[in-house]
Amino acid sequence: MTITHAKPAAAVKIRRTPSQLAFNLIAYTIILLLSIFCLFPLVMIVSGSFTENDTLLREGYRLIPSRFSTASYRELFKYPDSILRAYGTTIVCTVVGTALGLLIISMTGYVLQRKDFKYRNVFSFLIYFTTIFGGGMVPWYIMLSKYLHMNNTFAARVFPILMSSFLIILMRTFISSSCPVEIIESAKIDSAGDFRIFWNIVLPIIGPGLATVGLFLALSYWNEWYLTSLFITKRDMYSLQYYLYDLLNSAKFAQEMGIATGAEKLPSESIKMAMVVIVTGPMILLYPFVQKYFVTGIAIGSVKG
Amino acid sequence: MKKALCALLISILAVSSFAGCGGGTGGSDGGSSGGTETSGTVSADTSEKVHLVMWTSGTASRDHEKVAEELSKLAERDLNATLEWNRYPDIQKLNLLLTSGEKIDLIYTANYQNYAVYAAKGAFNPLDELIPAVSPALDEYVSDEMWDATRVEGSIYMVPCMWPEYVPYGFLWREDLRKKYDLPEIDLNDLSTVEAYLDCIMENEPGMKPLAEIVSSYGSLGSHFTTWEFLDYKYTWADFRVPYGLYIDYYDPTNVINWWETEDFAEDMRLFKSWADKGYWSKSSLANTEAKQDQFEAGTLAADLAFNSPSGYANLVARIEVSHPDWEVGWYPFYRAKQLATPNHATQNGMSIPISSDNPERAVMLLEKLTLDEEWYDLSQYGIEGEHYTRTEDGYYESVGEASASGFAREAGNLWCTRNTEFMLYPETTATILTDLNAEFDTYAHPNIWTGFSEDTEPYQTEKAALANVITQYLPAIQAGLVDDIDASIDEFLEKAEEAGFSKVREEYTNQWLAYVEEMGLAE
Repeated sequence: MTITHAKPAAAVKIRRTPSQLAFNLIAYTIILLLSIFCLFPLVMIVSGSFTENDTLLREGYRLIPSRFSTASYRELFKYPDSILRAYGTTIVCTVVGTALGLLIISMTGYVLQRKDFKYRNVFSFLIYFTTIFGGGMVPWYIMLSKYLHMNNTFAARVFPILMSSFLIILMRTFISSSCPVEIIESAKIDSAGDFRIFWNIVLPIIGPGLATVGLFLALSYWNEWYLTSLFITKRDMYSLQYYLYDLLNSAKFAQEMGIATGAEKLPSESIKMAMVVIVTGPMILLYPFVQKYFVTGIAIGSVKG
Repeated sequence: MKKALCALLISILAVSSFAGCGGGTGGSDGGSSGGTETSGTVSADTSEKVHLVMWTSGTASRDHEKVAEELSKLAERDLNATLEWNRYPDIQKLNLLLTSGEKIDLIYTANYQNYAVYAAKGAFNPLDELIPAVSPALDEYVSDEMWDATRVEGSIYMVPCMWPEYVPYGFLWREDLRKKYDLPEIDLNDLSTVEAYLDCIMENEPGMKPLAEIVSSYGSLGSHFTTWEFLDYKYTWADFRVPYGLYIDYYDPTNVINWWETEDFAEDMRLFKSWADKGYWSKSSLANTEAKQDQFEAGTLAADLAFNSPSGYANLVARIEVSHPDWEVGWYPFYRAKQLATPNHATQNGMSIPISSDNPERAVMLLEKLTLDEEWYDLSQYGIEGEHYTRTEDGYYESVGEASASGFAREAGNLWCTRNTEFMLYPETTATILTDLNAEFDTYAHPNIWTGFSEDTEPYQTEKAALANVITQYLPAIQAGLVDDIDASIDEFLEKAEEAGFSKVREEYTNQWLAYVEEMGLAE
């Protein structure tokens, strides 16, 4: 009785032919160069934000600050409670807006792609219609400020960009392509209700779609300044972007009007770089954690075998 | 299916048109009530407590709400009203505020924010009868010429600022360097003095650029190289900003000349080319965006062809006194070169009462208090005394603590419209320069005739946009002298401009301008 053991996989040594080696070498070089191209501006920005402003004006940007200074960060964090509050409200708006937006968009997308929903085309068209024809700026503003009373509420920073037709259509297409009708039918046969199907079957499958749409949503909330400029007049409720914009503006104003003099000159260039660092920092840190969903999502299909 | 769609379309259109009407009808309601109130003889009835809303431009300072609260206390005491003071950050928000019919009692408006357009569309209450009836003091405070200058289609819609403001451009240079090399004194009527200075810098100051002019955007007029502003020193035009290459002579406003086609213009451009060839500015100037002032203060720039405003200069001097005590700075305002100073037009800064106001009378009283009552004035312009500013023994403004960190800096409320010569406090560092310059300008001041005019671009919107594109594409290179052949380039530029509809724009603009001259009686 001899059992032929399959050779353990690890033992199989893939022989690298010279051509493969050459390919790897070239591929790695290209990727390396590309990532340097991508990293380069970022490094310049970070280094610029730590350079003394006058040096920046005289000598330009360098990879390593020739005269190190934290003046721009000191200027930005001069009033720590204000900027932290702006951070706080922006984080809350981003989290709430993204979560709520994802839930509603995915539910809409799911319903719109269900073949047994009779009016799905009508509703799809209605949603699509708004991308071409809109009520215009003024009626929109009147609606939100006069009838929905959103002035100076956080709702004004969350609801207007909660859903967009583009994201809904994206989600609908994603669900219909990644989640075949057989799964839903089989779940139905197993006596699952609509919400149960959506929650336990559809949502886990559309992970990558959620990640994509979620990233879109999160970015638009994170970078939001326009709604703040229209609806918010209270400083405590400013979004981070608008707070920074305002900070720079009013410091410039103070300088031009001649109230700020001498040594405390605004670091006009380096402060812009510091603002970029402050705003993009959290997003860059977050990205690696979200990224895995993009990869796994594409790799795993729903119907196996 | 089709029916449903049709119905939907119709309903959407209906809704949007109703929304449009909503603003309109709300507006006219307010108008009629405003009209009946003003015709009454009873003024200043403050028995009923009301809530007033005021909007000024800009964004709120850190202590804006605190100051607004204090102001509201004064309003409660003097006007039996509570006051809410908000800020609009840009013209788009202003547009929304006025078109949405939001309840506003007092709002900052100006010609550069389309005052005349809004006034003509009926966004504001007419003040012709309201002001004399409610506030004789305000009526008297504003001079008759200023009242007349604010008229739109015969009626007054704003209370203009009575503080004369001069904002000329001027040539800025380092006086200490001029002295160091023993060069002739700068005089713009003799450009060789300027050239001698710039040549000397090129030769002897290796770390320094003589000039660093840039391409600057003039909004819907396209982009220009900043040498354009410099030419203001030699022409007695109504304003250098007169668009589309037109030249309107100050002393002969009905004479409108196509300046870009004149030999004068070509001559000026040849001068700039000779400067560019000498290397006064770099070949990459057209792509440069670095602020001239920053470079000047960092010591890498020797001169600025067009540096804006006396207050800008006074502030620069004050800052440089601290950062580079060994420097000396010179500024030659273009007004001086041509002996013609035109202060800001009446409509440059003003307050209007929107048609949506429920209490136009109380709004007028509020405006009177802000302008003519020193306690109100100081609080609204300078913040809380002791907390934001103090008054020195000599009567100068001094900010409390570090000025750039102030929660409410000097005039941080952007209440430029209520500025009053009698109450104005200057910081000590800038006071002398400003008062001296203003006194000089007063000696050759003439009323501003051009900035009150606002063109109606409706008939040539497309051509205007096309023209702006052509300007942005061709003109800066000519103005920077960075072309091989000036005359050929001007010809090419004019040809392209013509294709874009140049003649139509100029013709329409000239007609509108001549009508304005007629209406305002500017042709003497």
